[in-house]
Amino acid sequence: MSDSVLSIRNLQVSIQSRDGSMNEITRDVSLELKEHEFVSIVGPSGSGKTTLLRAASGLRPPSGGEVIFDQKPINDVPKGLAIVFQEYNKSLFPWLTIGKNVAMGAAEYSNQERAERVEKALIQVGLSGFATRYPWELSGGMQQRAALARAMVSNPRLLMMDEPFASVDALTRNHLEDVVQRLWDSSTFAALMVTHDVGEAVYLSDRVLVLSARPSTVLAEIKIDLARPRSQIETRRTGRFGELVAEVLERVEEAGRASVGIEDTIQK
Amino acid sequence: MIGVKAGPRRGSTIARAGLGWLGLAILATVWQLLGMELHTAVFPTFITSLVAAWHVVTSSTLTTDIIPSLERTAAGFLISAIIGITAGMVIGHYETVRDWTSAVVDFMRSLPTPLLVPIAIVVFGINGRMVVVTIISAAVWPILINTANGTSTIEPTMIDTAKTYGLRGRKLFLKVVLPAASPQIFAGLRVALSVSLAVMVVAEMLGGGSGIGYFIANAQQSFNIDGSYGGVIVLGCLGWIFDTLFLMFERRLLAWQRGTVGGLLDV
Amino acid sequence: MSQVQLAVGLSGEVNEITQRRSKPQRRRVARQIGGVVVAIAIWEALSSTGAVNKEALPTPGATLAAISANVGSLSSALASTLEAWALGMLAAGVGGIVLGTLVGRSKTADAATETIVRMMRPLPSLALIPIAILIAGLGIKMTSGLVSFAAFWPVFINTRVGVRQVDNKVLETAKVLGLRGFKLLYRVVMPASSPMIASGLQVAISLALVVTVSVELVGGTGGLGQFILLAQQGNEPSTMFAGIIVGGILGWALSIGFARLVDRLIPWRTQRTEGGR
Repeated sequence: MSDSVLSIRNLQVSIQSRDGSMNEITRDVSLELKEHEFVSIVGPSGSGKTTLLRAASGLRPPSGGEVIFDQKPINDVPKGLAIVFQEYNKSLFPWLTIGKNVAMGAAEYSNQERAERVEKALIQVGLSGFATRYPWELSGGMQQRAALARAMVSNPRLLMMDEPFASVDALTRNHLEDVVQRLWDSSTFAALMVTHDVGEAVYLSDRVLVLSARPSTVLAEIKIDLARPRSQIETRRTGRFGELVAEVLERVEEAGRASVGIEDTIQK
Repeated sequence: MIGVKAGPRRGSTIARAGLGWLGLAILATVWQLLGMELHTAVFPTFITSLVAAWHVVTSSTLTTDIIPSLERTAAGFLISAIIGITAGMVIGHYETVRDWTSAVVDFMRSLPTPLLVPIAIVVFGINGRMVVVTIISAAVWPILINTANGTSTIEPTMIDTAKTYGLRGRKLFLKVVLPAASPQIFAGLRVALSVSLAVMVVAEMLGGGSGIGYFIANAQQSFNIDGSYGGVIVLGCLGWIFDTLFLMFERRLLAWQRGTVGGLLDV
Repeated sequence: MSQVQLAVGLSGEVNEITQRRSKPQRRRVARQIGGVVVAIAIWEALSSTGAVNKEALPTPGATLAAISANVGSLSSALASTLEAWALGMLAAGVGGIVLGTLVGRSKTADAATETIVRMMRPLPSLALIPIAILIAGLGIKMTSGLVSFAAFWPVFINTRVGVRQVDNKVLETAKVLGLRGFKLLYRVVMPASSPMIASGLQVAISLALVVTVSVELVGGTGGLGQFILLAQQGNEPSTMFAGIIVGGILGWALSIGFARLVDRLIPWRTQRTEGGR
């Protein structure tokens, strides 16, 4: 399994709730992520997608199972792994300029190399010339592109994204999807994205995993056999795209129905 | 540029400032007329008080009273800031520490500090050290509480992001927690500054042995009533200067914050 | 920003269901009580071992004994302090809210008062004690007058800002709904700015108490301040501490009481999503 970047094995996460009892969020999730592969995880809301990503990235310890990144088990966020969070307005540091925010991702390089990398990363996401601006001076989509630049600046082997485009409008979202696709096409990193937008998952991914409701397991895995490079208009026009979206959606709906049942029993 | 908030037009800013000074001028005129009308020793006119204030800052009072007061206030304020910010970050960051200390902190900050002056006089005697200790006992609480609030309400995503980029321990505190909590810390510091001035005055009145508070009380007791009014004016101006300097400092340090909140409040 | 957030332990989580938070709530209270016990133990250790001069720091036991020995004079001192405080606070609260609303609704008045406020806010009103004694003599009128002068500013400033900051969308919605004039003020502007006014009042409550006891200390006009001053002159440290502790409890009770009242009257004030995932 030498070409595996990330390997999640029987991951289980429980969170202590306020009254002291343990709440099982993730029951049993396994997944292999190969070099330069794009995998998305979709699931009904409340299926613990964010919790899963936090455990997979080393931000929180799992309650069971293990995560192997680059042949080494992780217990902290490892080098070579970058994360983009949903809330760009909370993940960009408001007291730093865009340039300095991006530079945070390249702290280990010399001053000169860092400056070059920051410049290059900003060009890649189409933000050259904005290095001296503060985050509040930029629109939401531009802020999220800055967050992407910060993730890319260290040349990661793996990029994790937690609902990266959920806080922007639909057209900006399409545009950001293409920014990510272009970055991925022109580089060698693998990507793991968590999202609730089925169309976005199908459009970007090689594989889509459908998570069950809480406590979550992997319910289904759908291979996305759409030709690359993809385009918002041409790819979405194809019948295959529609079929795949429908297939994923069906599985998510199943999971969602199951979750409603579970919540009912919890309430009673 | 998208999202840039346009500042008020320059003309209207000037008009606003002009109106502000006009308001002050009207107040001074009312004081002057009232003083002339009443014509009593206990209520001198505005101009008489202003002249008395001028005498205060140009006489030996400057070195015997005003400078010691400034030194005491500065010392008390700075020590409070160091204690308050450090303890506040620890209390805010660790929920357990917060639980253990909150009742005691609540009690201490509600205690009307001037009540401590008599005991401070017993312990330290009538001197500047007593004044500094009393200032600290009052000014540390707004700083501590605001720092703790600011620290405990930092967005978890922000901490996650910092951890992603390898910031841990002291670096996490200095590079992320401190700047993220700084708007709240500054609000606390500003309150503490005016608290320091107020407590300084009352401590000096009761047993400072010197200082502007001592001067004002002493002037009243020795029937130098104009001097007493002059002292108050000097103190008011000092407070205003401190506050203005503080705001300038805050603006510079928190420049990044301009667009993230709905305009800084100037009051 | 003139708004001070007080009370670490009080804010937040009101929207949690009581049942769910009962256990950690109990643990939290236990820890708070533990903290008080530890503080008293440190106090006891410091005074009984003689680490701090016994003349200056009596033991908790001696302080408690002094409180029970002086119940009569302490409660009359407390009553007199409270009376002066309440009168001053009432005037400051009413005056501050009414004037603050009027000024906050008018752009011209707002600009005209700006510099006055900037001058008055940092002016330590405690410096006015000698002058207040000159003008009004020693008595509750003087104390309350000075208290209301000092407590007026935080209420006035916060009301002004709160009223000025009411969201335009809220105002437009109200106008669409046909609310005008006094009704608009009473039904929309006041509720919308009430969290800000409440924090102004909270600051004013503590400030008013500080001014009350300061006047009592400087002027010797009765109340807790004079009680402690007399104890100091009589060289009775445990009686002084009795007064200090009672003053602390009074301040604590006033601010907790007000915070509870605010939680009840303005339940949306403390609504905040705690960072739960």
